Amino acid sequence: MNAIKRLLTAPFSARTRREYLYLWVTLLPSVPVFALALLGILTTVLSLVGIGLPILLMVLWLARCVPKMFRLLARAVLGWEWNDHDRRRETGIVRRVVSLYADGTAWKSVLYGILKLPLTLVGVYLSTVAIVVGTLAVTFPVWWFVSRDAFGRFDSNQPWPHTWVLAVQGVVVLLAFPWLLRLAVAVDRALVFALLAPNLDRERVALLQSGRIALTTANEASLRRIERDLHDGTQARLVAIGMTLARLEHQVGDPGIAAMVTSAKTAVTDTLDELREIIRGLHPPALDSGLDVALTTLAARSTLPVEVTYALDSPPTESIATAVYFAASELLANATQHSNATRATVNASRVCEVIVLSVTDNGHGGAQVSAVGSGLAGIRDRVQALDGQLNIESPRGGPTTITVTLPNR
Amino acid sequence: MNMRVVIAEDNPLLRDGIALVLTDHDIDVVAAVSNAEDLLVAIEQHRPDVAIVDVRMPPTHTDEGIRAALSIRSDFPDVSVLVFSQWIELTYARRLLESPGKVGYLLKDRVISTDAFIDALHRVADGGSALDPEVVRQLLTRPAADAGLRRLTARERSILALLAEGLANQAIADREHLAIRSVEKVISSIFDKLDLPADTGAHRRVLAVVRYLNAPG
Repeated sequence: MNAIKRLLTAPFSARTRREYLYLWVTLLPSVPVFALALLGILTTVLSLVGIGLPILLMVLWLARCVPKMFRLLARAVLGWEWNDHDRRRETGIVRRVVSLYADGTAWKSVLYGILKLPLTLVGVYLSTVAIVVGTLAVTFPVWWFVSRDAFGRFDSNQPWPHTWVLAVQGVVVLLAFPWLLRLAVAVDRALVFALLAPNLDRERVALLQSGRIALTTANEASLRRIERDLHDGTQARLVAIGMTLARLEHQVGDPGIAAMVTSAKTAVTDTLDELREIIRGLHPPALDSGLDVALTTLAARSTLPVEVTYALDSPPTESIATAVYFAASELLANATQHSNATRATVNASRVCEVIVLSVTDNGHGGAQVSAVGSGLAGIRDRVQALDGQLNIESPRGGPTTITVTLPNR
Repeated sequence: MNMRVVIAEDNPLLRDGIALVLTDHDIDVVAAVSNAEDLLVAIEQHRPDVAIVDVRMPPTHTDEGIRAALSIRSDFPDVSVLVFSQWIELTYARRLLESPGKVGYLLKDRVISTDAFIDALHRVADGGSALDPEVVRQLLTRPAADAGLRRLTARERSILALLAEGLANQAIADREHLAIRSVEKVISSIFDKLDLPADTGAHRRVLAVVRYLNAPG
């Protein structure tokens, strides 16, 4: 019953009215967008022979506004909603221009522009014809008395009851038209979400990516804070206790008590050594003075002779610097403990926007991620969390070169 | 006359603690400040024998102390500087050692071993140097120094380390339980192997060793 009711009321439903209105209001802007898209295709072809690039650039720049304009109309009339493309702002004029040529949003808008106008024209034409013809046919039994041949569509010699045949045909047309309209709008909707709205997966990936970056940064910041607290608080307090004990040691006469004070003092000193190691594992203080200083300090602490080459013109971001530092630290420890190396080199450089750390040793090779206690799996995890890669070149007999690459952002 | 000292340390607990330890040992603390700027003002005003300077101080908490120390050494040649820190960075040590003598670089923990600390303070005040054993250890593992260092025996190496810390022959002899004569012999053998001039006075000899270890790669 419900289905029949819906069928009968469809021509008068609000949805039909809105969809019809939607086709009309989008028809107007579809014309210039179509022209723009045609121009885009033309200039693309011309670009192949070397001309037309500047015009294409302008076309693509304008095309990027297309999703927003259609969204305005679709939202007002049909309540459709989609997100803006999140657009990375490139710096520098050259990068901006290049990124525009490669902008998927703009190219998809051009494609939409090509398809939208014919679709809307067909939709508007067919539904308008259906409304007019259908209405005229349904009401023919009434106005038969005025024009007996129905503008030549009816044999004027037929008696009046035959006018009902035409009226029934009109009813069929009127009942069918909302579904035709719905089809046109559904096709449009599919195009809109395929071409104008950002891809859901990509959006999700972008979201996850920025979330992960925020997480690493926050983690980094909290480790730093803990380090600062330990340095300013715990460490300083321990030193102060030690100093008090040292003064006490000088002032007591009783050798038994003096010995106790001395052992307490030794315990404080040992605790300070341990605490220093812990802090180094959290956030190496040397990193505050820059990655170069930290790597040099690291190399100096190693029991191997280590040569450091640092070739970054500007400092990397904090999380990258920390990752590079810990990777270098772990790799040097590996070289010392597992490969019997007698010397090692640490190399930090930048290739385009990628930070490259490579650690080479002259040990016996055979390093593997799976090797127990090698720490390589740990490095790989840390590096992967920052979208980086770990590359191991370690033939049996050596030498071993392990490279870490990290995108700097 | 007592030794006169200015302390620059941003942590009040440590600042007061050090002042007390020094006072116990008849050293006059003429000023105790909490940042590098005030330190330079105090040096200008008091002209102390030694400035004891923390590396990490406001505002950036990075290497303020090192920079202040270097500018004291260049602007006030009479004032010795003892830099101390809660960890050792070789890069900082190298920068300090550019200055010929009258500098020291120690871990803060060393204040707890008061006698050694006071000893280091006196050495620095007298124009010598005081390097933390940790600094020396790091300098000794340096690849560039390898060629000369590899020729040393284990005993020579350990005595070289003490020498680099800034200790005098007698102190080395005490530490290693050796007769002063044998220490002198080992030292001259070290100087031969490293190709260093052996005929100089105690402080200058230490500086020669440090300069050797600190030579750019």
